[in-house]
Amino acid sequence: MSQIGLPGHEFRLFGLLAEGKRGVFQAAGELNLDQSLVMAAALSLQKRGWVAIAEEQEEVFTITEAGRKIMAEGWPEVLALRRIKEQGGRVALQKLPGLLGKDDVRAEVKWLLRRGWCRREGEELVVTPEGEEEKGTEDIRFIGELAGFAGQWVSAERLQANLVQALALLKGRGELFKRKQQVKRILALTDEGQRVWNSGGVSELVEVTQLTPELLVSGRWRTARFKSYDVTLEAIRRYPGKAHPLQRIIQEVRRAFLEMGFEEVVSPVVETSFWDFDALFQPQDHPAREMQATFYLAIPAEGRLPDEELVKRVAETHENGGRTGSTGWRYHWDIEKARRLVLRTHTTATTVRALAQNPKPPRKVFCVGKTFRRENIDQTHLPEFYQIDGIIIDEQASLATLFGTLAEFYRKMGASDVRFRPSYFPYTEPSAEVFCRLGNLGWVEMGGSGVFRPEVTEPLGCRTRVLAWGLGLERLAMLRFGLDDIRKLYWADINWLREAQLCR
Amino acid sequence: MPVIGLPTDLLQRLIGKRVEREELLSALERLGSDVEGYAVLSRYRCERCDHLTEALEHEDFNNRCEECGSERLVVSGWSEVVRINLLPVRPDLFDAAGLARALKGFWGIESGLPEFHFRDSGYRCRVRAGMEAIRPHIVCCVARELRLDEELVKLLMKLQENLHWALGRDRRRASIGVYDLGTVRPDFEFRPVAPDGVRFVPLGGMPEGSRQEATPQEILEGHPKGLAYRHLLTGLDNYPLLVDSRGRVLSMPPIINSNETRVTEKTRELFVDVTGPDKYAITKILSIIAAALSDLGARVETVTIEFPDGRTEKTPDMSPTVMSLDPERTNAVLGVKLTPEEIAGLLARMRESARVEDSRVLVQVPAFRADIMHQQDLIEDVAIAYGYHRIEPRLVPTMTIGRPQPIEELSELCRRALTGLGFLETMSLELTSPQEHFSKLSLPDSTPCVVVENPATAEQTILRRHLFSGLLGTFRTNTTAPMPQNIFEIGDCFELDESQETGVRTLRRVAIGSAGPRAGFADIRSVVETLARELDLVLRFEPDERPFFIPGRAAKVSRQLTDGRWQEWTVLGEVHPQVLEAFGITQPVVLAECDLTQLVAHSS
Repeated sequence: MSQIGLPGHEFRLFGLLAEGKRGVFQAAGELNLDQSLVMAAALSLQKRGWVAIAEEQEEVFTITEAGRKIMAEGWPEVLALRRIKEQGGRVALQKLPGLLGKDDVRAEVKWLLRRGWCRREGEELVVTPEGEEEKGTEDIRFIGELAGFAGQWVSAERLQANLVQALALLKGRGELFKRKQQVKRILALTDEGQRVWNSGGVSELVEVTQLTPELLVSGRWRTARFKSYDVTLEAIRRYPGKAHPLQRIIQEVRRAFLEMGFEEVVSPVVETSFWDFDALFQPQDHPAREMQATFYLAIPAEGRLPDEELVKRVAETHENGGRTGSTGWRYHWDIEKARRLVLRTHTTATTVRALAQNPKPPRKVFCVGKTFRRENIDQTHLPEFYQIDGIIIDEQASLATLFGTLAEFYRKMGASDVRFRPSYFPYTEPSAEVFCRLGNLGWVEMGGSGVFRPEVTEPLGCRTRVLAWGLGLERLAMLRFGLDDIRKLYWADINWLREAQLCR
Repeated sequence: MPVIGLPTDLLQRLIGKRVEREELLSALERLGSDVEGYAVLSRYRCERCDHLTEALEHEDFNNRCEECGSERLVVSGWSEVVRINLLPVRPDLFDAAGLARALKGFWGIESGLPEFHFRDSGYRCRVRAGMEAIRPHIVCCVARELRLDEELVKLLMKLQENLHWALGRDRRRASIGVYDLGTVRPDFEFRPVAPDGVRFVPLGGMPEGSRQEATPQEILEGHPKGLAYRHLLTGLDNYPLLVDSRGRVLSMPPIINSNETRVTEKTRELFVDVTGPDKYAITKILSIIAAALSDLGARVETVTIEFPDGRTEKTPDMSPTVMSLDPERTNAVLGVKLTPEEIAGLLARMRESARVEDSRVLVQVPAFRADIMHQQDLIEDVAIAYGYHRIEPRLVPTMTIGRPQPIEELSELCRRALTGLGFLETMSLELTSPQEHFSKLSLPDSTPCVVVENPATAEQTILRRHLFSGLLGTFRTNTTAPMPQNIFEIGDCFELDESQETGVRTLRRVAIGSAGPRAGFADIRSVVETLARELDLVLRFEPDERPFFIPGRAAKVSRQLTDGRWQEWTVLGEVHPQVLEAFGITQPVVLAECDLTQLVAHSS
């Protein structure tokens, strides 16, 4: 016969009843369990046909308000007895009111005589030997016990006091307690139950809230029952440590370009005008170079220029096109302006440095970096922001491969569609603006791109066509994270950082 | 970038057909114009100076004359306009006539080089000796049989203004004057004048209460345009002046015209001059204006310029520039396969004349195009005419290997370690102020650092040297968010270093901070040690005395180099209450900052 596992309470009750029948209260006391748990276990065992639940009438008692009062204030005859004992065990009846501090002492006298604690000797009360020992107080004990149950209905079997004596003593005492009849449940094993127990075919089933190492090591988990949880309840909200949302997009951009075979480059944020503007064929009187558009530096004010030959080629290209076949900008190029240090206005300064350093094809280069424009801070403008720049030096570089590369990049970034529109930048020709369709946001302008002008590439010693782009990053982040204020990225609200989802 | 509103009625009249909105917007976009959309433009006439001020309907308008500031304005008309962001590189598209010319080509209504045959007016403009040093170049033209209305007058003014901006570089390279020819008597003279050598009423008049006839000096000091542009005449003893044969003043370039030569809708004949130090710019500007006037129905005539050395030239010169375009190069740049004939056809649609000769395309570029410097610019014209949307995107087939920057990879590694410890990354601006960056941290304001010459606000005047003020700033803005707060920032800091090409050294750092009632030295030290363990560094801790930490609760940390020497790597400690008070932070804060640049430099 296979072993039957019973939950702890049922198993223990089963064992107890095997020793003989019990009332529910008694069983609860012996098992040290709440009566309701005993009853639940009994009902469960009854269902299996192992336990019978019989009902008997029993008398139950509870304390009244008067009973509580007498327990709190003290029983009058007890108080009186103790005062008389202090007087040597004998007191004149007429002195009793003075002794007890009350006019009417009839009740005290009545109960002292009735309990046999005093006898009358003429006009005196004399304490008896029973009185000396305060014998016959089962009623006081009974009411005291009831008071301990604080208003519950209590059966006699739960009380220590001798009920017969107590009730006899309390006769004529007024309503210190109440009594009534109630059903009492007696639990006993059935014959089948007795047989099952004797066969040893049941064992205790461990009910488990938390699986513990002890359960695992002891092997008790085999007979354990796992308490079920309410799995619909909400758990505590927690937040992982997270990279900044903007940083997450930067990493996504880096991964996209690295996957596409691009080499990452960096260059200083503090840059000479030469690399930020002149090498990019941006004329020295271009509005972008004015003080209201670009941050110039007071300390340090000037930087060093690259080798003289390169500077000369750039100067000539500006002035008359040099050897590039261009007309140039037809003005006098000022080397002093080229030395002026600025906070770089675009990371094209970074890619053009990379181009100058090694113009040999094939190369694919990208960078993500901080750039600066002299803007006042508002909802959509910051004086500093990130840019994504890239170049491709390749014999196959063309507008078609430019479009293909950027479309591939933006598809990696989650755009459903990418398109291009003619535009104008001083250092690219042809030039194109990039637009993306992101989610349901419609077309969003992402940045500029084009083929570097020969006036840019040739003075740097590059004879190959070079594709170039400069794309925005904050815009993408704002769209991704549903921000309407760019400041939120840099004056971060920690709650927002905690909430900003990694999946965005 | 300035936006211009071009009247749609006029545009359709010039194009010669009705154009649907969508059709127009799509064509403009394919030409590279950034279109804002359609709008209604209202015109107000100033009762004081007669100037026309335009305002978009539904736009905030302060009801003041833009010329003289008077509030005595009366509504005088309105136009439906298409609003376009000006493309600085195509000033020939700044006016309705130029745009219509381009659109007609784009739609194939007309193609090839627009022909302009201008008769000679017989008028001369003499340039007097001394102008070489003041304002050496002038070009002029005459336009007759003009039917002007308010809208056109306003359009001409706008064109003038926008050409000043784009080609004139805000009048530095060139400035334009347009006059009612009927108010002057040819010929003309361009001559130097002493600051008090003449008196005339400037356009719009002098401020109320002043004498209206003013000397050049008075105009520079009293007239709004004088004040706005007098810097262009700084250092000159004499100023440029354009007068007619009777000595009547037309203008004092590049400042202001005279009031009596002003153009009104009653004007039927115009005299136009462009002057400046940049011969190329003034020539282009006059070509654009002459082409526009001609397309608007005027009969344009040339003027002869006579220089002191006896040289003469007739302006405007509308002869095209001839260039040669390599079809192979064109196909390579665009990634398409076009025949030379197809290329010539596309250029014709861009209003250039092109013919194929010996497998090259010979191109005549109209005089009003100011953006063609190189055959590369013609290739862009081909691309625009062909249509960017028709170019098939593809990848370069060349194989290259992706290669990350070590400093970025190291930063990412630290980011992973710290987010793994439950820290949130924050980012702060690299621009800051000495007050926020030094004073509040009990550091001297004079700490050497990169200083911006022209800051936009007092809060962003220097580049940061450390990341602590960024973290403390974040704690400051989050005093009400749940504690503890554990954050970090990875970013660049900047120190002066003459050995560098740009005089500045960039240092990548990671800063870590915890705020909360129980934030203490042991916590931050444990984080730093954890990071060091992940980076395989051996550390040595020593007491540190930096003023922004509580004395006795800060350490500087060195790491052991492979040769056994030690290099300072980190500082960490409990932030001094004085610093917390300066930042308005009411929780204990611990901070650490570690240098990442030295780790990369060392390993490479």
